[in-house]
Amino acid sequence: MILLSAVRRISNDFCILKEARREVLEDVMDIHNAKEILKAIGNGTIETKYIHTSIPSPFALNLVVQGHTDVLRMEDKVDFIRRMHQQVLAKIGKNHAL
Amino acid sequence: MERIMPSKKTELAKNLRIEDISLVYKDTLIMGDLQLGYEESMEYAGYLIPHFQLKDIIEKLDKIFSKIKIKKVIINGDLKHEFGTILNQEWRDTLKMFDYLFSKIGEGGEVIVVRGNHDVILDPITRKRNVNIVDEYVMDDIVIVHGHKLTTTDKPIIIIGHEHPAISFKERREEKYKCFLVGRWKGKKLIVQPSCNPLIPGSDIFREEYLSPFLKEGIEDFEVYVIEDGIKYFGKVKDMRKL
Repeated sequence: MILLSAVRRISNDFCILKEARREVLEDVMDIHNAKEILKAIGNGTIETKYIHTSIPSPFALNLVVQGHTDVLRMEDKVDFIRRMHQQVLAKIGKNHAL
Repeated sequence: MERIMPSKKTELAKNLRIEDISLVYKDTLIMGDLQLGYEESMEYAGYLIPHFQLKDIIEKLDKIFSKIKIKKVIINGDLKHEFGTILNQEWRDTLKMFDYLFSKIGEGGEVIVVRGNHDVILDPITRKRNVNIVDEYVMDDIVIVHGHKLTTTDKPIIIIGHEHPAISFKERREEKYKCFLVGRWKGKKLIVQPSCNPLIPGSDIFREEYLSPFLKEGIEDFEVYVIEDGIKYFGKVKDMRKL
């Protein structure tokens, strides 16, 4: 965490940060092919069907579980704490807000 | 979005309030756990980090000095990092810090260091700038101690550092946010300051063990003030565990 904070201050385009982002988007997420699939769904080349089942399919379950351990944290540190603070204020009352 | 009006919640006691990473009591600034020289110490351990720590701290102090008239600065321990020696960077940065502080508080201003556990060999540096090192410092109803050892004070308000408090959230356990903790110890009000060092993210109060003997009984009823993007009051530790 210390190295990451230090490097972020130098530049958001620091080569190691760039490579880390590329690795997440291209290697882990495969963003290029994901875009192609979404395009194809959008223009009808790939047809989608909704099928309701009582339990998730193995494929669906895997996605749900993975979603909870999301590798990609696009939400900025400040936005996150603001969101958490809003949640807390809702519970403890607005008279404690700053 | 509804505009939330500011309340008196930045005031922790009469005339005592949070200002970014430090506390201000009347015209006294209280900050701690700077651990200057940390970058050079990391270099010896094999990590090469640019030396931005001092610049960062001074930037934050500039903002405080520009809006509040400060005549005295209390450094609540761990001014420099290394225990058994004085690194080159520590000589430079500590002297620079003293010179900076004196330039801001002017004639008749005072800089005092409350000895922390890292301040074993600090005297050679403080002697060069006429800075006193004390084991505890009293101001009216407040006593300031570093926090690695208990105090026998009868004052109703105690300020400690040492702990480097920070919090994390279930949703994002790897990100730590620095905070102030306000609670009670032996019937007195206890305030725990975060570290002023930008490189040290802090110790997660939800996960890590407590260093200070002041926190031995646990901190469930302590209130949390997060200092990221201003000051954010989060209520008590025990309620935050549910987040």
